[in-house]
Amino acid sequence: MRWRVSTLRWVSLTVAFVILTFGGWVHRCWLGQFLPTLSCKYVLWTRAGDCYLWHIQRVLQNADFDELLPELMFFFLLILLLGKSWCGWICPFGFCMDLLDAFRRRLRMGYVTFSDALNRQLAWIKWVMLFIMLVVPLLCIEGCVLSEYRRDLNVPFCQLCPARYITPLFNDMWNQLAVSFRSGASVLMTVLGLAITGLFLVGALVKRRFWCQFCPMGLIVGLCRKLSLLKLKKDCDACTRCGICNTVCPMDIKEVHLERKRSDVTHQDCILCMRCIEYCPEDHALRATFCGKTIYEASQKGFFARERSRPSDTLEKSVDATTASSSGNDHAK
Amino acid sequence: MSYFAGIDSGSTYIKVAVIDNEAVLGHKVARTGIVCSNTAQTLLDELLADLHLSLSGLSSIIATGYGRRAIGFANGTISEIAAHAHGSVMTTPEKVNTQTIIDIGGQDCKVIILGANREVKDFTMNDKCAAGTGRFMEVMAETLVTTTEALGDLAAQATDPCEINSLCVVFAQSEVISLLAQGKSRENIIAGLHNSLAKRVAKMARKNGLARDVIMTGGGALNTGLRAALEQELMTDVHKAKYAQFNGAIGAAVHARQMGA
Amino acid sequence: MPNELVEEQKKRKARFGWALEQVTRRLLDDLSVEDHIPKRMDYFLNILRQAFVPSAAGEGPKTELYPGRKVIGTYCVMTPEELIYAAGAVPVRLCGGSHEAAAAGDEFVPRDICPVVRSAVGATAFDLLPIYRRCDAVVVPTTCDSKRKLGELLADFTKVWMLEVPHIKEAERSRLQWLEQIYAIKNSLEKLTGKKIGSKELRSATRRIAQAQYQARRLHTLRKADMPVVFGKHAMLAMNAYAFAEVDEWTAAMTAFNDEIEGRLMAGQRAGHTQAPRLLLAGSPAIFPNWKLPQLIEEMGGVIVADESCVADRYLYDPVGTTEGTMTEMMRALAARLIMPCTCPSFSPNEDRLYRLRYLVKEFKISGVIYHVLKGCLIYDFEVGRVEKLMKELSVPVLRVETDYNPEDIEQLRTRIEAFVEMTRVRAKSER
Repeated sequence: MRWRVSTLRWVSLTVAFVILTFGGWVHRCWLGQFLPTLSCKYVLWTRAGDCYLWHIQRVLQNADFDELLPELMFFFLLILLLGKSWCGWICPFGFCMDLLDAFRRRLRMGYVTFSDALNRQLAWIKWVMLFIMLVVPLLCIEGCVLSEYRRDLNVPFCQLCPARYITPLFNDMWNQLAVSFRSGASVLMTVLGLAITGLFLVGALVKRRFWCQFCPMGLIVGLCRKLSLLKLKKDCDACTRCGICNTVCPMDIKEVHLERKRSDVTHQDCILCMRCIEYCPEDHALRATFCGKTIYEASQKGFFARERSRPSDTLEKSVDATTASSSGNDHAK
Repeated sequence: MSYFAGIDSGSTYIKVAVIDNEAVLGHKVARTGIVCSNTAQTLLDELLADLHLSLSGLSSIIATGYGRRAIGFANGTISEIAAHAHGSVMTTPEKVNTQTIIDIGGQDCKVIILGANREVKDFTMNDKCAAGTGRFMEVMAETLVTTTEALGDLAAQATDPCEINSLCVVFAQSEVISLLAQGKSRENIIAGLHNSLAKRVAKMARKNGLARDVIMTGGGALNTGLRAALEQELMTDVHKAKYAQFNGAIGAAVHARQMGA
Repeated sequence: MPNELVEEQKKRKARFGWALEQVTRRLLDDLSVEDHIPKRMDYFLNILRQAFVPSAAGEGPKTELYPGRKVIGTYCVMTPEELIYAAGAVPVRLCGGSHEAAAAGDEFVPRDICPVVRSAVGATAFDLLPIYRRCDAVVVPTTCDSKRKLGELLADFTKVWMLEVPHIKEAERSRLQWLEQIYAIKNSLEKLTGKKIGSKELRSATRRIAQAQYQARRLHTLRKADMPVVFGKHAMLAMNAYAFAEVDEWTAAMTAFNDEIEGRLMAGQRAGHTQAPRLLLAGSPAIFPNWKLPQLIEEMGGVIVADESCVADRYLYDPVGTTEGTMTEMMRALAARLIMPCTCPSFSPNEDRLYRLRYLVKEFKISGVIYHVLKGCLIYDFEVGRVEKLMKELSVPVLRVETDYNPEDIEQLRTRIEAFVEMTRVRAKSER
């Protein structure tokens, strides 16, 4: 059966979203609280797994390190296993953004790309997010600088994260979408959080996967990409540097297109959506590998088969002729 | 005993050679004339008569040179480059391991680099203009009221070779005349011409990386002065091939022999 | 706004035109009866016949080519044909290959510049080929010096849209500027044709061209086969014919052509001798009717299995890659495909070309490279050293052949090429 990778990915995202957001309806369906994806805790009882960032912040704030090590192990194990495909194939917030993107395409709207200079300037934001996530809770430990704000700065990153405001909506929970007037700090954090959420909702409509270049979870998973079992590899000899991979990449990654020597081109920002492989017109130039084995590879026939999916009047004959002699398809193995 | 013939149908001269399994038996040269095929036929017949052989006694005849395709009675053709490479098998002097062949013919000059098995590894040709060819020396010899054969000896008597700047035959001729007017001696001018030609050829030779040993073929090899100038320029010995002028024809015959083998 | 020719120019036009017709007619006739020519070659020969030998088509000089439509002349591969088709117009590649036209062009441009441009000038100025004057506008990319000045000159004869191709394509600002220019061409086309180019039209045009590109790639792949079944002089000519054909027709003809080639492969019908060396024709493009080199090389016993000519193998190689039918992405993808994978030496640095040549040598199992340099083609000549160095690494011999459209040096070329073919054949045999 012919499956396009993009269709496969939609299926995966939908299934993951359903399980993670509504899995709680199924008795004992629990995947763990150390998931390397924005599967938000604030979806409350219907969820089937937690984004680990919430727990890390709690652990750091309470200086409660007993469970830390085994949980961290599982966390990194999951990262190593699936690498950045957590972002592209599982993340519920990613799914939300992809829905918005699909809506944009339906409206036949174009999209925005940032210049290299701007991207460089914005790169520090995800490190700030990471900082907020790791350092602020540490500073809130009893006896430290910010300890009096413990309550207000509880899980500081989660107060800013747009996933926390959006994903509960799918469960008809609107109570997160509110400014907390408990204290000055709370007001600040929740207003910021709501502002960020609004920004990224609109942003996802004009720029593909807008949040992902700022996401600290993506940052952490990305930092582990060299050790991950799932990688993006390139055959630099087969590559013609046509730049199609750069055009179709939702993260606007240039390095895959420009790389000339190394074969491992898994980038920090990459969400492993594999659109680059899907749209690359040169056999074997790009491929996804799991444990070194190729699971999906660029194909010239696949590229042109896609271009033929809607034959025009004068082309019936040549279409049939070429379809007959090609067995091209681009399904994932 | 098998006999093979090679015909080098050049633009000015036709050369023929006959070889057997071991040695070069004979060779002849004549001006090409208008119908090279006829000239070649006549020349070959004369040579065979001298050697007491008949046309039917030849196992094979191979033609080379510009007019090779017009030689209807030949059994095949090869390019001059290949012919010269083959020829070096029989024309290399003793104790010389030929890696580079410099051929200065009537209207072109070539540098052929040989590989380990005497096959052609690389080559450079100048056949676009007469610079560096026998024609150059012919014109100059005429201008200086002498013959091409005498040039070598005259150059040996030079005391202070002139600098000739023009590579082009036509302009070099003008330069020679003005040098004569300045009172420069014929010997010095000829030596200067040899240097100029040698520079031109050396440039071609060095382009592919000069590989020793170097042999010289073609009419130009008979000019001792030119050979000396080339040695000077290339800073290596330049050996004169045996039967230098007939290297192409001999090479064609060698090819005939190899084909028959 | 064509210049009207004065009386004495008309006489010269008649002479040049007659010579051009004779030469191309003879060439096409020779090609038609050649050994091992694919039966499906007819269509491509006819296209060229119609373009070059108007009276041979039996109708006298064509009075109106493409009635009712706009014709856009193009130069180089960096012109966006997708946009031209989307606007309902027809693109025609005008890079010149005629010696007679080049001789005519000598009156207007220096003799030392490349014959491609001289030929185009001659054909336009003297109205030697109807298609040149028929164009409603021409797109001239500023690739090399000659092309750039050509654009300036052609403005005397026709409407010219210059496309400033960035020479340094790596820089982001170059790409942005290039994208702007593509938009500008789009606007010019819309204004000229009176038709709006929407995303649907553009998508449909990209699809149509993609079909042609697929067939071109099929041919490319078929030529890789261990046993060569089609001569380069035929394959390259079929690609060259695209310059004067409309895409859908060409695609259908090429499909049939490829099918025939595939058939030959199955049946084991070799082209050339068993020991014919597999050659790569690199360097300046050989453009019809300057078919001197492809014919000579294969006459001397080689087979051209690969080339990097922008009117042959590279003409239809790079597709537009777009995930969505939005104008933004398609224009971006179009702008990228026109320059990013392009290995024309007008770009500096031109690393991409070395990679492509390495790929060609490996995939096509090349045993010799013939590097064609047109007299006056500075940029290709400049890169000879680099290519020679690369080929040395790959142990492949290179023959630099400098020539122009003049047939006078055929004998000298013949000697060189024959020697080279012999040399590569012996090398290939000893390596086996």
